[in-house]
Amino acid sequence: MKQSQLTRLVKFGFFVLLLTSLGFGHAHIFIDYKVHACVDANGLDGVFVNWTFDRMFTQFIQKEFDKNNDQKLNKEEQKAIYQKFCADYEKNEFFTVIKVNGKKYSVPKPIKFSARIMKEHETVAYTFFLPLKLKATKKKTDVQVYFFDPVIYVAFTVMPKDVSIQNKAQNIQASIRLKKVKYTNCPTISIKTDS
Amino acid sequence: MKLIPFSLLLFILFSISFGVTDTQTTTQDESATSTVAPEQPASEEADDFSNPFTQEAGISEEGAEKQTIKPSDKKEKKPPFWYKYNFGKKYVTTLQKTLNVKVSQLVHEFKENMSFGKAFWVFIICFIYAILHTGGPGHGKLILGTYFLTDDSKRKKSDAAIAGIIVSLTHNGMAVLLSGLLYLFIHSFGDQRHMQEVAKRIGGIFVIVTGIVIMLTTLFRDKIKFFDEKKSAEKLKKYPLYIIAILSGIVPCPLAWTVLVLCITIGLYWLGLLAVFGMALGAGLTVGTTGYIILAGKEKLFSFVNKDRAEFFAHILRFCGGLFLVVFGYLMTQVV
Repeated sequence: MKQSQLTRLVKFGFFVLLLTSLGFGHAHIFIDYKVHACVDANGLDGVFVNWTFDRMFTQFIQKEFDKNNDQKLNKEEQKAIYQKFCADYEKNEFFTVIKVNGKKYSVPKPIKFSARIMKEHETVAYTFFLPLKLKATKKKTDVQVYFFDPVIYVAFTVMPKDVSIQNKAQNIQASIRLKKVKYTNCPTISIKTDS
Repeated sequence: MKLIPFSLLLFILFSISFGVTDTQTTTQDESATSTVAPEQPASEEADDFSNPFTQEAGISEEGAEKQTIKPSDKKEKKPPFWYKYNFGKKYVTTLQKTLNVKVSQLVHEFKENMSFGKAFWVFIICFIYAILHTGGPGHGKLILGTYFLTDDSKRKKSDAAIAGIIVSLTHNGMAVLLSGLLYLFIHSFGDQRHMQEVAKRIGGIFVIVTGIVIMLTTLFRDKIKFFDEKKSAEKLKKYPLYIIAILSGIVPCPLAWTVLVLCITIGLYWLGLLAVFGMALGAGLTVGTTGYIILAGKEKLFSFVNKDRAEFFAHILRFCGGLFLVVFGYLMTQVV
């Protein structure tokens, strides 16, 4: 193979690599999420989740649901969003993954849902609770709750500062951390009883 | 050599992205550990936990509070295996997020202070955004690329550019058309994802038919006299390309849709059209370049093959391309 042919081949390869790199950065909606785990005397009661949508998609939500155009989402408007949200959850679990010690678990319907327009950033945020009701045992249990869209239509982001935990139990040790799995970061909650 | 300026542009965009906050795949592993000491005596009531984000009670479906979770047999949806080796993904996603925020900011600024400069920047940022975004899956590259790879008529490189523009104009035009019609008639933008699914299914059926036609014309080429007539073939050779290009772009671009919704909701219709035009040009550049690379690569491939065998290889390639389109079209119809 001549030098020029080799150069061309390298250029071609570089270009293919570049295009492949682009191949999976294909998001249309960006969601920053936060996870707050709640531990009670029985174990992990559930997690509060906060999703903040990007400004562009926020406009879409506002246009669709803020019917009186007052830049606020009242109870009726929030109910309409919740109904749509639950329907999506039933259809595709809305990209929610729950794993207990590495085993996949069913995804519960979100409850305690609220939606609000945050004026300072002109974004819409959804908050909801995922009831888990997982009992703590003497053996450490790792619970992963994360959001991931395999086709990256929606890009979920979670940062270390966005995970927190509230422990109301005297006899349970609980912690939360951000763990890197193969393709994303996932908030991981560890619980175990003292005795 | 013509590809170098485009590579440079992408390289610069990648470089910029290094300085931006990380998104999808932050690399901190186990970096955020917070262990909290018990606060108060144990409580059996879940309601005792207050919402840390809003302090509101929120809405719940009746009975949903008593749900429990169970081990599930449902398979976890995973990205393709090469996803984890795709090292550019987090930078590209980050950069797209930055551009997304930038477009939104500029559109809002334009509303406050309408100037030619701001409109120009909306156009430019949308153009760059679309170049990057169209590099992702979809947007007609695969169908068009397969057609170029399997088509045995001698094509000029300019055909790739024309096809790229047709694909992107159809792709973005469909978004304008659908969102415009929905807004005019039902004053709603509908569910973008659902619309895309419907369009994908329709497009998938067309792609299957195209694949079958390519396979049949390859298998029974000698029996179809029409293809032996040089003049007719020469006249007609462009039409299948245009049809394929339109089919490739028939699924409306959700990004163009979102940008358009953003502009329409704040009453900037013309800015929305300008932004979508910028996106169409950017998308056309990426799709056209992909077509160009495939045409150039195909030429190179055949230059290594013995001339006697070249025709045989072309037939095999064409048949495989048709088969691939059938499979790809089927997958398009199976979207969830």
